[in-house]
Amino acid sequence: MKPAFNPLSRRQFLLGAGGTALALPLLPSLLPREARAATEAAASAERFFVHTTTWHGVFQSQFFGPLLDQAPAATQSYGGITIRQAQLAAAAKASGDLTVISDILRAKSSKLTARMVSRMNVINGLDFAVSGGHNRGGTLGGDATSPTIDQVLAGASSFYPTAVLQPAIVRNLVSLSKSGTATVQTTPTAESNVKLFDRLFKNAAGGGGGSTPAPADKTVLVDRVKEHADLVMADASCSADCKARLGNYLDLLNEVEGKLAQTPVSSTFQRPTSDTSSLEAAAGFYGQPASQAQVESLWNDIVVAAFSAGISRVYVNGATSYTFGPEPEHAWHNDYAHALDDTAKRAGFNAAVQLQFETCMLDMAAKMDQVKTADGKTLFDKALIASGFELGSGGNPGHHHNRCIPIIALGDAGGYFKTGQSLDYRDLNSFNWSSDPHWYSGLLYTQWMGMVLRAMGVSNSDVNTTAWGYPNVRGANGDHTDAIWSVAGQDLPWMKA
Amino acid sequence: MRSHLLALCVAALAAACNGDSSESTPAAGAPPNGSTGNPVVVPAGTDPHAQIAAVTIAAATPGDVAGPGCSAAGVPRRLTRDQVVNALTDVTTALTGDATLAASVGPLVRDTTQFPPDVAVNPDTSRHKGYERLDSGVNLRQVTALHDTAEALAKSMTADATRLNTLLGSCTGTADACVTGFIRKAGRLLFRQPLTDAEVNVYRTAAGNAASQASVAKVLGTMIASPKFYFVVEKGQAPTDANATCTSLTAHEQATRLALHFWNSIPDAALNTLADDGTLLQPAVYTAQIQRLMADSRSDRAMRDFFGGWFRLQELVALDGKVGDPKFDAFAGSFKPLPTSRDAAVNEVLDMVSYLAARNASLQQVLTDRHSYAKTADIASLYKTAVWDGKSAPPLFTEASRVGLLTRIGFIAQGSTDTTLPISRGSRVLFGLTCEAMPTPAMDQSNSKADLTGVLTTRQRVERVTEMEGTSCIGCHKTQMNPWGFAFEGFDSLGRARSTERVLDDKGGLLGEKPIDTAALVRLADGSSRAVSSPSATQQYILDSGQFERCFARNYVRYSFGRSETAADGALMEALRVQAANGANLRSLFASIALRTEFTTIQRAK
Repeated sequence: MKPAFNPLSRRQFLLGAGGTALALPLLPSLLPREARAATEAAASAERFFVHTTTWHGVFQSQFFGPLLDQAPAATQSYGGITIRQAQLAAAAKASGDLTVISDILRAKSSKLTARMVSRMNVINGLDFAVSGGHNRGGTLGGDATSPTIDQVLAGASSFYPTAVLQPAIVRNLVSLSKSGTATVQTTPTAESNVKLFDRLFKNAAGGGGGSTPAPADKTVLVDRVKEHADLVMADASCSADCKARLGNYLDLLNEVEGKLAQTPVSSTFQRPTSDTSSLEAAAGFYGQPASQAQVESLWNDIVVAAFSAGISRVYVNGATSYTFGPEPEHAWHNDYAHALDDTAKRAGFNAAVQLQFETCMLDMAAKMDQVKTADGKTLFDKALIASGFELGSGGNPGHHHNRCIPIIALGDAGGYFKTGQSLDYRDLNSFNWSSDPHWYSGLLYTQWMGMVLRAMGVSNSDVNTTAWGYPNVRGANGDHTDAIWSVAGQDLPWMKA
Repeated sequence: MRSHLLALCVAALAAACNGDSSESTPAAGAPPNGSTGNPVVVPAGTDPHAQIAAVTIAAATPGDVAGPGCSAAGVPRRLTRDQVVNALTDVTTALTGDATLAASVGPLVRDTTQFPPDVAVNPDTSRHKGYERLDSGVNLRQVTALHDTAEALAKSMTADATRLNTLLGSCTGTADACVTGFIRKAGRLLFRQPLTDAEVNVYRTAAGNAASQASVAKVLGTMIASPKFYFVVEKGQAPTDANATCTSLTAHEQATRLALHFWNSIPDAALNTLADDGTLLQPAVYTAQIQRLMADSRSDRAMRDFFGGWFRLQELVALDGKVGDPKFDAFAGSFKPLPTSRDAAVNEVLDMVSYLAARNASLQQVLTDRHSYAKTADIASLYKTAVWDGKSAPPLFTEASRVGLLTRIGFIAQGSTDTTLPISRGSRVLFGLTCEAMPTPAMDQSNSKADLTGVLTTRQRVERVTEMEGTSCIGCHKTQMNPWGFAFEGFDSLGRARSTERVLDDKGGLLGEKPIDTAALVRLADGSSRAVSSPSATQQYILDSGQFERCFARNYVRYSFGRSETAADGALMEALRVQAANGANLRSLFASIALRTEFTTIQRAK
C-alpha cells in the first residue's frame, strides 16, 4: 500500500556562488514543540543513497594499487576464507597537491581530504554470484528477475515512510525495475540536467518548469477518469488482466495528482543555464572524459537541490554510455577497456575513471556535506555514496568476468558503517586465472547489497536480506562454497559500526 | 468461423526501374495450387518510376485451412509514444482544422511534457534494441506526461471563442445538447468507437452541463487522460457459438487494429464510417481497406519503424564522437563526419525500404538492392555517388563490393571507433538478420595474455584474443561470430571500402599498412557452412539459406502483436515465411498479416 501523501516540511536553502546548494538550518525553534520534535526525528531517520556505475572491468593494480599488498591491521577466518582489514589512511600519500591511494583513487587534496579519507571504505574481493559479461544493473544488485536496489528503496515504506515526488532519480541505463516476474530497464528520469530541473521544480522565474493549475482551472478531472474506467472494467469481458492494467493506471494517475501539489516552486534555485545535452552532443565528446565529468557535476547540482527540497533521497547514475560505455561502437570499449596491457591506454583509462571518482563521487559528497538538515546534521552525514564496476578486476583478456568488483563507499549512512578502511575479502588461496596480475575469488556481492539496504533502514517486511543478501536468492555453487553462501545474509566483516 | 486466410500471388514483374539488368528483380511466384477467387489488387504508387503494375492477392477458396486460431486478449496494449503523438495530432486536426495547432502536438508530447521514449525491447537479449511496440510497461513518467499533455492540449484547443465555436460546430440547441454532441464527436475519435450513454453522462458531468471554454476543456482533458484513450481494450463480438474459443473482433476493434498497425495512429473518417455501419466486417470491404491503408503514405511510418527495429539501425551511435582525436582524424582522412551523419546514414537505409516498398519490390531486394539513397553529401561521399534528390532515379553504387544492405553505411558503420568491430558486425548479421541464438559467454576464461606485438590488422588482433586454442572463447568466436564479421573487413568502421588496413598509433602516425583478409568459413546453426571471401558471397549464402525470410517472419509477428512469438504462432510464421520466400512484395507481406485469423479474432474471455 502506498504511503499517504503528506505536506512535507520545507527546507530553506540558498543558491551559493558557483551553483552549489547551501542550506540554512530549518529553524525548528519556530515550530510547535510536537512538530519540532517530529521534524528533527524525521530528519534524523532519513537516509540518502547515491551510486555510480563504472563501466567495464579494470586491473587490480590500477584500482587498488598499494592496498593489495598492504600489511593488514586485522585478519579473520570468515566464510571459510581468510580476509584482511587495514586502515585506509595509511595508504593515502600526499603527492604535490594530490592525495594518492592508487592510480585511480587519487584526487586533489582539497577534495580528498583527511576527513574524507576517514569517511571512505575501499572494498576488494566481492564477486557477482553470476555473470554474463556486460550488464546493466549488476552493480546495483539487479538481474533478470530482481530489481536494482534503487528501485527497492523507492518502493520501501521503511525507507520512504512518507511518499516523495521522485523516489529515485536515475541517470542513464543503470537501473532495473520490476515488471511482472521479470525486470526491465528503468526509464531514466530525464535526458538532461535542465529537463531534470524542469520535471522536479516549478520555476518561479518562468523557466521551463511547469505550473500546477488551480483546482478550478484543471482540465483533467481524475474522478471522472476513474468513473469512466469503472464503466470499462465493469464490462464482463474486461478480463482480470484488463482490470489490473486499468487499475494500475488509475493508481499512477492518482499519484500524479498528488505529486502536482507537492512540486516545489523554486524561487531560490535558478534554472541551469548549462545544458548537459549540448555538452553531450558536441563533436568529440566520446573521447573527452573532462566533458563527461562536467556533465556529472552539473547533474549533481540538481540532485543535491532535490535532496535538499525533500524531493528524493536516491540517485543512481552511470557515465554517459557512449563515453565510457560497454558498447564497442563507442570506441572506449576497444580502445581502452580491452587495451589495458598497453601502458598509454591504461593511463588513459585511469585518468578517465579517476575523473569520475573526483568529479562525480567526491563532488557529490562535498555538495551534500554543505546542506544541513533539521537535526543539525548534513545530508552527507546520513548518506552512503558508493560506486561499483560493471565487471570484475582481473587479467587479460578476461575483463568480462565477475570477480572482485572494485567498490568505493563514501559516508557512514547515519552511523551504520565503520569507515576509513581498506577491506580485502579475497581468498588468496583460491584459484587464480592468471599469474600476472593475480586475481582471485572472494565473498559475494549480494552480501554487500543486503548490507546497503539494511543501512538504509529497509526492514525485513519490505525486503528480507538476512539469508543470502540481495537478491535474497541462493545461487549455485560455482567458486562460492556453502560456507561463503552461509554468511551472505550478514553484515560484511569490519563494516558495521 | 470466417476464414481470412488468403494466399498471396505475385504478378510477373517488369525490369528494375532504371533498366539496369544488374539489379536483381523479384521472382514471380504462382499462386498456391487450388486458390481461386477474385484477386485483389494493391495498386502501385504514383511514382513515375514504378515498374511493377500490381501485386495480386488471390482470395482463398472455401475449405482452405483456417488460421490456427486466436490469441488471448492478455494485458491491453497501450499506445506507444509515437501513436500518442499521431493520434492526438489527428484528433486535433479533425476537431479544430488548425494545422499549426496540430503540428504543436509532437513538441508538446516529446519535449514539453517529456513523455519518455518507449524502450525498443528485444526479447532475445537486453543488450540489443528491438521494437518499441514490445514495450508494454506503464510507468509514472508516462502517466505524468500524458496528464500534462491532456491539460495543455485541452486548454490550447479551447483557447478562444473561435476555437470553441469550431469544436461545438453550429450548434443552436441548449448548452447541454451542444456539449453532449461534442462529447460524442470527440469521444468517438479519442476512444475509437461510439460512446455509450453511460460514458456520455460521465463527460456531461465533467462539463457541468455547460458549453463554455472551461467546460469543453474539461471534457477534452479528461478524455485524453482516460485509459480508454491510452489503452486498446478489446472484447470481441458476442459469439454466436457458445462453445467457440475464438470470436471475431468488433468492427471498431478491427478498424483500430488496422490503423494502429499500418499507420501508427487512429482510424480516419473513412475507416470510422465503415466501422460504424458494420460493413468493415465484410471480407471484400475489409480487404479493400487494407489496400487503401497500405497505399496511403502513412503506411510508410510502420514499414520504416519495423525495418529500423529488425535491422537494429538505432544502435548506430554518432559518427562524430571522436572528431578531434588525432588517431581518429588520421583514420577519417578527408571525410569529416557531422553531427547529422549518423541520422543520415540510418535514414538512407530506411529511404531504401520506402522506395522499394512503393515500387512493390520484394523482401530479397531489401537485401540486394544496389542503389544509393543518400540525400546528404556526407553519406553520398562515402558511397562515392551523387547526392540523390529523392525524386529521380537513385544512383547505383559504383563499388563492386558494395552489394546491398550488408554494406550500407547505416548497417555497416560502427560509430566513432577508428577500427572495425568484426565481432559486433558478425553478431548483427548472425543474430539480427538470420535469428541465430547465442548462449551467454562462459565465465571460466582461462586465457593467457595474447601476443599483440607487432603491426597487426584488426582481424589478426581479434583472432589472437578470442580464438586462442584451449580456451572456452574459441567455440563461439572462431566457428560462429567472428567469420561473419571478417567477411566484411573490406569496409572500415565508417563503411568505406578498402583493400588494406592502415594501422595507426595514438597520434595518428602510420605504423604500417597491411592487406585485408576477408576469407571466412561462415556457419549457421543448422550445421551448414560456406567458404566466403566477399560480402557478395556472404549475402548469397544468407539468401540461399532461407534464414532471412524465416527471420523476417519471426520479427514481423513480434512487431505486429507487440509480443514474443509462441509455439501457437508457428503456422502464422510459416505462412509469412513462404510468402516472403516466394518473392511477395513488401506491401503485400505487410498487408497479409491483417488477413489472418490471428489478427481479426480474439479468445473469448472466460
